[in-house]
Amino acid sequence: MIIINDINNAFLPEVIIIIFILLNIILSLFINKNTYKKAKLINIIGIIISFISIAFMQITPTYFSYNNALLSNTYTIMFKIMILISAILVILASPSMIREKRKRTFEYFSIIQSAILGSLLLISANDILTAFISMELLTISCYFLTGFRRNHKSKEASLKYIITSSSATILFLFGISYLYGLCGNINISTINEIYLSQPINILFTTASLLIILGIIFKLGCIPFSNWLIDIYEGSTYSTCSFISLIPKIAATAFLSRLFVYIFQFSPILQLITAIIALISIVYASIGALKQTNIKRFYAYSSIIHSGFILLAISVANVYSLSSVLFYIFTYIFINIGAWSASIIYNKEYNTDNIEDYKGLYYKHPYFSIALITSITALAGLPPTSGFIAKLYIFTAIARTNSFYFVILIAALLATIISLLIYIKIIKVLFNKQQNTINLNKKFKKEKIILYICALITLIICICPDFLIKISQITAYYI
Amino acid sequence: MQNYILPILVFSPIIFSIILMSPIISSEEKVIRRSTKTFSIIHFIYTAILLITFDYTNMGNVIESNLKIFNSDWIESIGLNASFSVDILSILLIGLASIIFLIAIFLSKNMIKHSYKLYYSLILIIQTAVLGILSAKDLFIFFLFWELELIPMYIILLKWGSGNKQKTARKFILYKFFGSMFILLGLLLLYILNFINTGTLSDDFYNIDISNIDNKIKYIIFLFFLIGFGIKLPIISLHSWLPDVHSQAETPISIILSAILLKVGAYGILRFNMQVLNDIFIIFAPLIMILGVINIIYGSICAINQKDIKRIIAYSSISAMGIFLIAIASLTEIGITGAIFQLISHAFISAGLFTIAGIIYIKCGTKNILRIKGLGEKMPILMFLSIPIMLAAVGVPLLSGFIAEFLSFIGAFTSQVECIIDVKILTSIALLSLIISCIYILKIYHSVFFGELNKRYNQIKDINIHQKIILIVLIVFVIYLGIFPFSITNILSEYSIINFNIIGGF
Repeated sequence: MIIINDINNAFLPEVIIIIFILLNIILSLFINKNTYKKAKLINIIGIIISFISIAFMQITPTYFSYNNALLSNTYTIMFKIMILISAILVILASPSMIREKRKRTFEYFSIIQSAILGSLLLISANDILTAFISMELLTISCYFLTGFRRNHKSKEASLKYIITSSSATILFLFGISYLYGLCGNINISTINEIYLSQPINILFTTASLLIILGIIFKLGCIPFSNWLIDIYEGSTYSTCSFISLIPKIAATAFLSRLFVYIFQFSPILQLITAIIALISIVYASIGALKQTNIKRFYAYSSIIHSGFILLAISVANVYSLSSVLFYIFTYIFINIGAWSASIIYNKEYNTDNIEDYKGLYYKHPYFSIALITSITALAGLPPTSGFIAKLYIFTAIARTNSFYFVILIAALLATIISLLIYIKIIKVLFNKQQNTINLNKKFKKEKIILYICALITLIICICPDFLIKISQITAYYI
Repeated sequence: MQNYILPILVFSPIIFSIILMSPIISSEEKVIRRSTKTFSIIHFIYTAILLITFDYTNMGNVIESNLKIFNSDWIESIGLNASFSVDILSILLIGLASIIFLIAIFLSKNMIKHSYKLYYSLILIIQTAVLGILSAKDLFIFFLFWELELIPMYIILLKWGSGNKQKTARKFILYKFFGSMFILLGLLLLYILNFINTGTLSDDFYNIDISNIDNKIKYIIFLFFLIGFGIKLPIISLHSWLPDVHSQAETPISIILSAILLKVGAYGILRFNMQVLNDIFIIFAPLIMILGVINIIYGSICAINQKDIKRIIAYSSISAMGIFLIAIASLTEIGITGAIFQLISHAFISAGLFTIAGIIYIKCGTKNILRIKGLGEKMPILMFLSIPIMLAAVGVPLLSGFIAEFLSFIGAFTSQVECIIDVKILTSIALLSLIISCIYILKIYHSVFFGELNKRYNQIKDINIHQKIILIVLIVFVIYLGIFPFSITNILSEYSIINFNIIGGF
């Protein structure tokens, strides 16, 4: 009875995802023709059911389940909603996520589903070991996703992912073992109670720093950013759009919880994290300048955004956390808008080079305007949601103390440099030399996703108050 | 009940630009141009009605203004509102902006040759941005409109114009973005300090109260704003984008840039550095005075050495903005009146000069004044119509340029600001620029219209009716402001006494 209760109150979306993972594997035995369309339909239905099931969960204050291993409250549910929304959008935005060997589509989708499962579990994890396991589930699924293309670059990316990710995992595990040695407990809430009454020591800071480094890999900040960029370059566009969102959202949710419950006892740790964030922003802004590959550009741009998110997380108060929530929510639509445009373009022309987009405006004005909207939002300029998100995160950070204001000044000056690459893309779209661009009409559904994302990006700028209120309420329940 | 007069004023251009961009409207040039013109005329009439019915006796207090404030909670949960209000300064500049945009749209007829849809909709977005900046009542709404202008202007500079367009456009957007980051930092500091001081989150700049805050932080905010708005103005050392951009942009864009966007920078300095931080301005007034004198002299000397007509005019705008700077730094009633008058007068003069330069460029295919000679033979009407505008630029009495310069220099001369060098000496040095401006303006006139006509230009015809009307309208404004300056100066002097921290003068 307790198990059913637990499932009902805290575990429902995950259970549905698990069922669909198994269903995928079973169906792969029986369905051989037109697998991609069927697999896509079934999996979208699965995610939508899981999305709907959230409505039946218990949200009131906090529900602990499985011996306090998992918890469920407004905060986790908000993040789960975001994960599921972005998963639906990612799948819908890709005409075909795998190009070769269409027979293996069900396997591919089962991996995607297990990555979603891992991130859902990571969000609601209440002890560090559960977090570790779910993080590994997420990471291993991502190895497969990057390596699915079976060509040289894809293999290289997958191998790089395995090596870097394992080293990050080692750091994480090492940190956990120290923390367990210090407290004799792995439950986050219990550790919080322990340190409320007793002062921290240097060992605690070291352990926490190791844990942070392990999670930062998912966000792609310094010192792991170089590897991340190579991974992006090697994998397919659809996989990239998946990797750039789902692990990031889950890692943000978990890291914010850790900061609020454990790490905020150590001011030095906050300082170090803020500096890591700043270095990431500066590094990515400068690194983006010379890029000609659109995937690498998106990778650098995502590091800049992760930097701002990490900066706000390190502040670890209610305002900054609500700003993180809002930032991520807007970032979903911005990111998928930008990626889906490239996915469509790449499907038709098989090119990664930014220069190959030249003259796109003259052939496809509305497509280009949607892309420009997403790029403008990535740059954080009005009239897009990126502007509001940045404004909100800056007000939240500036409110904290003067030290963070200094970091903010440095980060803002760095983003001036990064503007160059954003305007480079806009410049290319309006270049005079016309090539024979002609996007077929067959990507209608994917284009609709692009337009919807662009439209939401614009609408959030006009009326952001509702979302900000929701994120403020949610941040209180962390 | 909300009052939607101001939001309609601000947002109608961007809404029309969306309609223009949509597939409903065909992409024929005539259809687009005419519908934009019609919209622009209607918008201008709307603004004119606002200007006429505005209650000019109400100084400064926007709440009691007869143009009601529009209040809306944009991001209520962190105290950011979206409110619009106008006072005398903004309504005058809004009127100015409407006229200039109308002129720019009319002038586009022969100058724009491709992508009409994109061009007109981007111009209208820039119009929204400018009107929004001028009528915003909140810090971050101000900033939103301030940044809204960047991408449309970048695309316009990229696609239309002459010379190395990509480099120019990049230079423009980088400088502007650099400036706007400083403005953002300044605004964030104001917002946070207001919160620390009063305990309420608010970003309304009439309610900002930072009286108990340490002066050192206020100095930082002041410098942030000075750099941010100084790039737009431009102040020398932050100016290197201006000659390139103004000279290489297409003529209607040059007009918008020099006649309105520079004035928006000046508006920022008047609003933030002088009104919100009015107690700090006195300390920095000597610095601004010296910067202004450098602007005047540097701008004029650079203008002499140029061969490109548009570059000469661009450098003359730097010089004109220098006059604005010394006039505000004088902190006298006459000086500030003259400064605001200078904004309005210079808008018409530079619009006229750029129109003339643009027409000459289209007819002759070159902007180099050494290559153009004797156009007066072929274009007598243009020659005749450029006389009043060029004389106004030199500062001849009975034209608006004279009044503006006269008031500004009188203000600066009687100023009681204490500077390392005596203010009177500084003003006297600046006065030399009047002589220099004679040299470069008359040089344009002489070399373009007099002399022997080059055989290449035998086929040139005189200006068409569109251009005639535009020039005549500008001349009417220039002469009207020159003969009846009291219609504006009376209001402005009262306004400046109430709104600015005045320390000296007669």
